[in-house]
Amino acid sequence: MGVEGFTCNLKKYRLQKNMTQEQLADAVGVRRETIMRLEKAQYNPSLKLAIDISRAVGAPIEEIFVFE
Amino acid sequence: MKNKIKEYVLLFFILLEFLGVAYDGLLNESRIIRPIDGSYRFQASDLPLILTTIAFVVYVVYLVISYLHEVKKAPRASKRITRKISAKFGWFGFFGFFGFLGIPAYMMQGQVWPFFFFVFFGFFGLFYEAKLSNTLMDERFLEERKRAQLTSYKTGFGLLWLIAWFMALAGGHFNTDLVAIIFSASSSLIIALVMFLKHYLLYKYDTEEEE
Repeated sequence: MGVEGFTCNLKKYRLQKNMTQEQLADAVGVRRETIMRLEKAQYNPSLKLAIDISRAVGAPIEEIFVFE
Repeated sequence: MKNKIKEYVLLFFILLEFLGVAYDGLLNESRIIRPIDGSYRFQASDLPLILTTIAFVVYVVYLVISYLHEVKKAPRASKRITRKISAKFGWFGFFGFFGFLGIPAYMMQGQVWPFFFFVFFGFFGLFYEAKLSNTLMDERFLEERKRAQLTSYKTGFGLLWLIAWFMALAGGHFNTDLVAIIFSASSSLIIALVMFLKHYLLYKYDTEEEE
């Protein structure tokens, strides 16, 4: 069950960067499970985590996390 | 290895306690098993069960203290890692069944305090805490922990309110002993439930949506 109105394109940008979930999780200081939940749009991240992920995958924050 | 020895010693004491009870029942006219009143006079034949019971209780107290000590000193890589504990501590939950001793203890001796043993049921939650042992506490984990704590406290307070409400309605028809029994048993069970739910719900929230 995802967060309503939330779409997450993290998986696309992570794969473009050739990163595994584990590597991204280590880079931003969270668990792999949290990255997995994010990619399924089952978790609404904090602003800090969103910025950290944006920097780690090198993509604009508003393209990774889309709120309708 | 040290923990294995502790388990064997505990099993030894449990066995010893059973033997002591059997000895008292079969060879000592159940002098200690039966309720002891003011007419009791000590005999040397009472010693086996008395000593094994004292040793057993002392050992259980030692285990609880060593557990608390271990929990306090549990190694953590950082403050962001959950404590590392063994699931074996969850077995302490079975001591909760001693709470049922409150029924015969009250009927035979008018004692209410054994009902407080129900609180040990809360230790079953350690089975779930151990599953999340040594886990990185990232922001999602902390959110889920708060959610689990909130739900368990709300459940506990809700049940406490229900008991208070029931007692307000029906308490006038009960004698003081019964009120004491209901409050000691229910408050112990509620605390145990909250202790258990905190860990169980956190585990459930953390794993339920994974595939």
